[in-house]
Amino acid sequence: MPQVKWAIPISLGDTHKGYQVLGTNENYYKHLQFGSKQHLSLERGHWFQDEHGAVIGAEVAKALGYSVGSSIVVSHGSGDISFIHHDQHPFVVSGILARTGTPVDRTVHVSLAGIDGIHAEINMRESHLHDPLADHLSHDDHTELGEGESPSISAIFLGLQSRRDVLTVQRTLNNYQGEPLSAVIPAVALQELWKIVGTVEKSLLAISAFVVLVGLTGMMVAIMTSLQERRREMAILRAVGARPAHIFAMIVGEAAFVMAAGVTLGVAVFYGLLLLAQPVINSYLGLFITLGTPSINEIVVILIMCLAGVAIGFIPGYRIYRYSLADGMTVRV
Amino acid sequence: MLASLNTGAQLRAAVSNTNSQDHSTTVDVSNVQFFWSKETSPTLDIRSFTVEQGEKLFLEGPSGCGKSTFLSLLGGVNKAATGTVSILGNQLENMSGAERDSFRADHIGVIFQMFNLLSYLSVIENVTLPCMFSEHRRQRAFENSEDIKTEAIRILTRLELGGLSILKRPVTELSVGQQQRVAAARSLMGRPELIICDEPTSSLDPVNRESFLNLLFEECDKSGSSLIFASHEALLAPRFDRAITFEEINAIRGTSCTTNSEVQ
Repeated sequence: MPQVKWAIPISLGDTHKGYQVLGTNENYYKHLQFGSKQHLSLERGHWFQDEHGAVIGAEVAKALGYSVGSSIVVSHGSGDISFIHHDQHPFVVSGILARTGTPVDRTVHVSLAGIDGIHAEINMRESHLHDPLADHLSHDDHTELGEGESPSISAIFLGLQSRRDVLTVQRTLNNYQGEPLSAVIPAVALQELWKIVGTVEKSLLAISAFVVLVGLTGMMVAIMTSLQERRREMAILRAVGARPAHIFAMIVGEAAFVMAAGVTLGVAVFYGLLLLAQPVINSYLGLFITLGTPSINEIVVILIMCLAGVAIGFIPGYRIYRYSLADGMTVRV
Repeated sequence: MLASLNTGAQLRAAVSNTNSQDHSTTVDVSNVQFFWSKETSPTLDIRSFTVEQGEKLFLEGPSGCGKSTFLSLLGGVNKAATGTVSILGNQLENMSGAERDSFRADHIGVIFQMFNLLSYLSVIENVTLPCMFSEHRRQRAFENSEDIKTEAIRILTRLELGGLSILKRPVTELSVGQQQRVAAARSLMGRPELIICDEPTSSLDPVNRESFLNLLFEECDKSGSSLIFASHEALLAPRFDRAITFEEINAIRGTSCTTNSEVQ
């Protein structure tokens, strides 16, 4: 197809000690982008040259203690425990990728020929484990993939020359009669996912709003109950010349201070927890959480919370104002 | 935070300048009636009450009889319905609430019966508190010392509280006698012309009471302040220049004595 700029074939189905083994070619290294349009880079070694080479993600290298030159035996199927080990066809680590914070870190990359090699061995041993797609694919001319590639391909990433072609290409592929293909636009699929997640996010925001409301009410009640004891304090301040307005300002200022302190503490705890949880989440879930400055939206929310604290302070402020007018210098117990 | 409250300095300066020179009469009250907001009969009805400059007056009366209300009239916290309250030649009823607050900050020191101090401030911060609200008293504090902290320590030392161990202690750990003396130091800070005490010694034992009175008198003499000392302890009366009972000046009698202090 003329609209296609690049294509990355991937072949899945094998694991190494629980880590996904992915068969691909050098296009993967050349064209795959992650995060903010960053390219993959090798921390050590080089991209695999032949069907025995393997390039492992940073997480794999760290967790299993591999370095360039280590030998790897791939197992069939997913999961930690597999009874079929392709021990006749070991791989040798040729390179280790730099950390990306994506599932790439948890992947063992080998050549398509390598995948083909281990499965040829399986096919010889157990003929019923034969891939029906492989036969079909072997007849198609995937010119973008280069010559001599394995037919056992699970999916192909396509990069287009122009964004405008995306729908045309999708339709062409979906209508392709030669074999069962389905074209997926990742951005659209992700958007649909976000639509679902968005509702959850909104309800979480609503819950947070109620939590803030409860917190504000609690603060107001705390200040209100302290007022009775503090009438003496107010009488002292009045006696040395404080005006009722001063006393009002003190109470509102106290509410504002408590609110600001609370917000500061909250933000600090949030970042602290993220910082602590980041490596844990990364290693268990493979999610990389970036620590950034708060967005405009978040800053607006924080400001609204501070203003709400000041506004809440007006209620006890007004009451103490009335008290101080009524009590004057008289200390009431 | 308190420093930021010190606004309206110009207003205060204007009020400070209104008192004319050489007023031998510090307090002059005539034909004053005072009503609590919901009452129809007056709580106070005072024909005439005066205090001369430098005079130490003992005002005797049982508690709950309007003494505190009367003192708050003198302090300008409450306003008389009729008649005139004149302090240092300034008629309080002609002033706005804010002006009266400033006037009180500038010219009047107050000592309560107990719990005079703000627990979250240090001893010295408590003593210098009036200077936060009054530029006038801050200036007068400078006449004796180069800064207000030194002046506070000077007065505290005179009241036998100058020791470092006391200055460093939280005010809540001071004994009642010490707390009352810190309160006295606060009321003397910046030499206000009038010091109003509302039962300052009733929480003290006889020994502490004697030393408190001695020190208070000494300092009032030094700063030339007039002193109004309200108390129910009649036996203290002979030590003052003049002693009067509250019944002598207030024309209101009877049940109102016991109920009014409860009205808000």
